[in-house]
Amino acid sequence: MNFRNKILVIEDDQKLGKTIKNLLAIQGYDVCYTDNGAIGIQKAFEYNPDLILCDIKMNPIDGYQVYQVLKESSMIDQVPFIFITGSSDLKSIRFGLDLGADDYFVKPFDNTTLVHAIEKRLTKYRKLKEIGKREFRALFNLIPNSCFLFDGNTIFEANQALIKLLGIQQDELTTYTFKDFFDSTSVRKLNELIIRCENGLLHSFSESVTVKPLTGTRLDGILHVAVYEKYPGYSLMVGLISLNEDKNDKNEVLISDVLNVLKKENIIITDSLGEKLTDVFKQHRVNYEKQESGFFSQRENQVLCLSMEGLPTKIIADKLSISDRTVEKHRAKLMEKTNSNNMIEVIIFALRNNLLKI
Amino acid sequence: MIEAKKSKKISPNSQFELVKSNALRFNEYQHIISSISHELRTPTAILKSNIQLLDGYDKTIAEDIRKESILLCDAAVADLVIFLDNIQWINMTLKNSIKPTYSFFNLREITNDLFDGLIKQNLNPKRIEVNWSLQIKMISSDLNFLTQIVYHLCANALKFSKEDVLLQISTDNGRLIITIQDNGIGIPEIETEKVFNPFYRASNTTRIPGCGLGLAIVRALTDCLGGEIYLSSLINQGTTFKIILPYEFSQ
Repeated sequence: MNFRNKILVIEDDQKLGKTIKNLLAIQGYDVCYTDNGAIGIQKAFEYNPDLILCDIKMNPIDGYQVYQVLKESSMIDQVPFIFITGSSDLKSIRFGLDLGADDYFVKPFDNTTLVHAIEKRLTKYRKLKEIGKREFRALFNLIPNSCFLFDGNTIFEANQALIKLLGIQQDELTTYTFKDFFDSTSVRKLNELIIRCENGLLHSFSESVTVKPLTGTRLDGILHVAVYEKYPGYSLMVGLISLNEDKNDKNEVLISDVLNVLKKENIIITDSLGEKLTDVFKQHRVNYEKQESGFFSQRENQVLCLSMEGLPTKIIADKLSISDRTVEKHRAKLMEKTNSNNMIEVIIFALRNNLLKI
Repeated sequence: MIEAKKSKKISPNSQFELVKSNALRFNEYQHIISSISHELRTPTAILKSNIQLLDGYDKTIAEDIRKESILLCDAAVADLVIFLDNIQWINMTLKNSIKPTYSFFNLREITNDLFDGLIKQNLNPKRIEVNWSLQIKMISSDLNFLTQIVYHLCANALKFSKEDVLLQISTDNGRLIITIQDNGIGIPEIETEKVFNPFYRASNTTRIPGCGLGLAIVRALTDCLGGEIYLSSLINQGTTFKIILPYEFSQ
């Protein structure tokens, strides 16, 4: 299975956006296009692109702001970022590059030059990821701690340490779910954290757990989890268990090193694993029906949850059977309540303050 | 051979020096040139990219993409034409060469092409609430001028406001009153006169595309029809334009 490079295009002129989308699709890229900076930021998390092309002059969130928000987030701060602009003013070009953008294209651009620049950035990015992947594989196989790749349910790969700890055979791994190996208290605690990871809201966490091997006694320890690879609506995570009984200074240092490697973004996935993944591909969403009114009213919660999916006003209005205008009013109210300038800030506010049940 | 005395010596870049001697005017020229160039870049990029696409991949390109490429070129050309038309209007007003052409028409005709025009500019006309309050239906004025005034005011209101926009058209004792009200970003008070200058854009619009021709056209056409413009605006709360125009009506 061949995973195509994913490019996120953010350009507020729809005609130019479609043009770029077509151009890149013909080149064999998987393209996600939006004409709005705020949605662009959301898409960057959902879609997990390999490269971002972004216009500068956009309203209400401009290209510089999109860039700054994304670079502050550890999820995608390594993704190559290219500006496309209508201004040939040297000052603004320098400003964009000073911010740290990888490249800068002035309209009208040459298709071949643009594609070459994209390919160049992607190759560089791929090399970075390959280094991460090699480090990761070596660690995964050699580390004395239990290490595994899993989604919310299934464990897809496990190292020898985990196989031994759980007392199972390598080939029967996928017949169990991840939850079979932890006690119910641990599973309850882990559920929400894992859903947050799957939704791209959390990149890693550490939580104390009780491991429940098939045979033998239960063991207490800490489970460290980091997102390993992300697809729209689906995340593959890597878990590492450090048992309390193994605790010593040397091991602590090793674990912190390993965690640093695990947290490195976007390590390339193996093909066989990719095939397994697509089989179990599913969508996780924040369910608006589950929300209770509190800080936000019921309607505001609904509008917020649907906005988090990046849905346009019209679709949200249809889903909730209210008018476009009412949706906009709820959005305005959400922004007012949270003292935000845009929906992204509202979402960040809601997540920081745990205002949403996930 | 022409003697040196008789021929007029052209100093190098004389025009440029003249312009530069007046720093303010030079800045204005520079601003106008960069506005125009910025405005032309996006449609030019669409044309260039699609032509290259059609040229380079004509054998393998999928039929639907080929068709879309051509449509995108068409749309980009339409944008350029609109822009050139606007420039043309500004040019005519600067030369004082526009004259209204009076005819009798039904007032409601002035919004006939409004929605299509706005859609072409990627603006959502459904956000406009139109409110008619007409004592009479048929008036004598310049239909084209009125259509343009309403169009530019609506396009502005939609562009600078996220919320819905209220357009009111009413007649009152021989006066036609067009009011457009938005809850948008507003116009800074010290700039309320300047925003009607061609190519002038209010200081809080830098992130919003455009090049500052709409209001200049509105003012020129309103002047031409002997009308008056009233503007009230509060930053981040909204703007209301009120245009009062005389007209003649048929009994």
